[in-house]
Amino acid sequence: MTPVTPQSWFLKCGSAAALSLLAYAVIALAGPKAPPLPTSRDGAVTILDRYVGEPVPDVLLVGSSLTARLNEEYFDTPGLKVLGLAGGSPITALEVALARDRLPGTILIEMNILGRGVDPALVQKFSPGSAPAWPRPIRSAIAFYERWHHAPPERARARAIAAALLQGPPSDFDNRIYVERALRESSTAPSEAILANNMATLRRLVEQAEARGSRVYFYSLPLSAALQNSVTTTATAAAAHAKFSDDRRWIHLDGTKPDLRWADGFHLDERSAIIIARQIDGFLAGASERP
Amino acid sequence: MTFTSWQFGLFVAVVFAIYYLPQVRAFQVHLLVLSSLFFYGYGQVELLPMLAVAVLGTYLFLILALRARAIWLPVGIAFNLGLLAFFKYKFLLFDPAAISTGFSAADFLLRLPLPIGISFFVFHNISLLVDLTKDHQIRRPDLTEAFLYIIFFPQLVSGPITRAQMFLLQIREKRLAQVPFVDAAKWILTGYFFKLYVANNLNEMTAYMDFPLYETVRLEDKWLLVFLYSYQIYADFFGYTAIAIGLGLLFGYRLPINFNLPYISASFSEFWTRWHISLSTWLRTYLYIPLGGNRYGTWRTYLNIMIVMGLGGLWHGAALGYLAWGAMHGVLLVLERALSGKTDANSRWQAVVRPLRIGLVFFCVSMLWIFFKLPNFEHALAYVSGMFTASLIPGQAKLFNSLALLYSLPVIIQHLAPASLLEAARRRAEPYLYGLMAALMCVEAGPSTSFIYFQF
Repeated sequence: MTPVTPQSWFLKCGSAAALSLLAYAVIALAGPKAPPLPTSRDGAVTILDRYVGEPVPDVLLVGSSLTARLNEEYFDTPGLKVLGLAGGSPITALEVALARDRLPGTILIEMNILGRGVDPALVQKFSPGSAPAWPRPIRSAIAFYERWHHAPPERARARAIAAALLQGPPSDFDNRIYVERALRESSTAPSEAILANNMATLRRLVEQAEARGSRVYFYSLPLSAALQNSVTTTATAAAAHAKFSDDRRWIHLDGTKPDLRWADGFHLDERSAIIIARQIDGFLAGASERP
Repeated sequence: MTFTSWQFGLFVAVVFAIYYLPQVRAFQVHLLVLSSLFFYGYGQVELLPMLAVAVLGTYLFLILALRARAIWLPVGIAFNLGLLAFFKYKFLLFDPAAISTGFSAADFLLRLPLPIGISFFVFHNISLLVDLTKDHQIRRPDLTEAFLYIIFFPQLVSGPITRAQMFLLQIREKRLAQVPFVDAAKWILTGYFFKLYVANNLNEMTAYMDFPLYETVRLEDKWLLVFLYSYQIYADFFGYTAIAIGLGLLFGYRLPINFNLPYISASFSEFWTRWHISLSTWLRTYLYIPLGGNRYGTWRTYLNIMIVMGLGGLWHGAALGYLAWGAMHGVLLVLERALSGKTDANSRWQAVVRPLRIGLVFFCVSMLWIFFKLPNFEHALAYVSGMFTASLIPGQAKLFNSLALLYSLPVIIQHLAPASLLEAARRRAEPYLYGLMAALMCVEAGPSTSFIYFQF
């Protein structure tokens, strides 16, 4: 066999790379947009990507991972979407929602996690006019496959599953070690300066939303009794109520129900999330009747 | 400056462009030393004096040890081990946030972060001291050459750990016509492919092994993650070494091979001749053999193995997890040594037994990586325990087996495809395959993360 000269080797190698990249660029630009495929802590990206790709809902819940547990299928209210960002803040979610041309008629803002500010990278990524991200081809192929192979259950079936869960007893999972850990993490008050800054940002965004015709309400998801009285929770709640003091704009969720559970110490379990979703449904039904 | 940053690409291009200019030929060593200092100081300039002290101190002790080895060699080694111990283990004794001795210089020293690559250049320093004072046939390097050996930028941060005699012999005038461009390109492309495509993508999944995220992982996924981390750490470190070897070739230096398909090892001793070979060789040459190796009976040999593996574990960091990782490898080596000769009695069964042994070694090595991934011993034990108990926490993380397979495939193929498979066709297709790898690592690179071994 004739030995390959370095020039020939690099020519072949470069041609193969260039042709592959060209084929990729053609498919990426002309082909269908691939859904994201989260494999780590980037669930927020998936939720935001879906939100900006779908029609604007009538009702929108924005919040952190606490809100992310409230699956849309748990609600009776039609046209409701949930923008709960795991590891993120309601401020980021609200900022993304405000970047769209049209706003939901009603926006519900979770007020549990206010120590986290806006995530500029996420807002930039999901703002109109931001440069389209080049998809990763293998990940995209798997994303299409997964979407086809594991489509979410139809609404009627999801509701049947939720109803069956409600019929059953609450979980008896022993979550003591998780509650203790969550308590340790909530034992220091959030920085007053950060909290004040985030509240100011939130007020500005709320005023923008209202100026564009949205009705805005606030809610704090119930926490376990121990966490409800933690330093972080009480400091955050005090700051939130001081800034938004009109009680008519607050949804008072009944966190005293004995069958609410927080399996990991912090987030509502599935059955409890359904119970809370039904409470929010009740509030929204009442709100729609109010002038 | 990491190997995967555009700044590093620009840096290499500029140094390479100057390096082979005829006017610079007489100063090639100087240029590489200056470039390496720039590379090291980029982003952490405050550590440059420490690097200079380490090299100058070692060189001084080398000069002295060449005159009186018995006195100055131990002092030189102690000087280097002291540096390593100070920077690596000081945080066991001090809280960096609460340090206040009343002396600003002492506070400054105590607050200095862990210098990148200290474990590697300290080993180079010791090799320089021992090799040159032992073998007087090796020409004594001047200060610039000693600097180059210790801080040559491709190997400065994470090796491979090169023996002094091997490197110093290569210091001479380099010419562009001598550069094996194709070999260098193959190493560099392979290295970047393993890092960007395999390691960075797998890292997205194995992030779930961290505390407390692993508590949200399903039972079967905890097992999957252990093997994915095995592939990741190999791809990450092999990738780094391959890039270093390729860069070395571009500048006229052959660095030692550091990996030789470690996951097809049929014994633990074989594993350590295939994994991080330069570290294993260093530990054998400068620790195991001076301790007596296997020359003083069975029990002393076992003790020596345990000492070497325990210290090898601690070399990675001041954490119980690293010590446990090294010690457990030591136990496996001791057990294997004790049982060797009894398990291989019937050679006719080799064809059947060898794959089983490879599987067993891979399984054990992968399990022990848990202590490496989670240096906090309690977290590691909790992870292992979680591999046998179902997680009841809702909202469990989702891992995709198909994606895991596709990202691990290069490591699996590299290890399992026989070298003779379609050899002629493969050789013809080789440049195209490298081109495809280059394209794939561009469009399918995982989120940027630093090399795992940078922290050591």
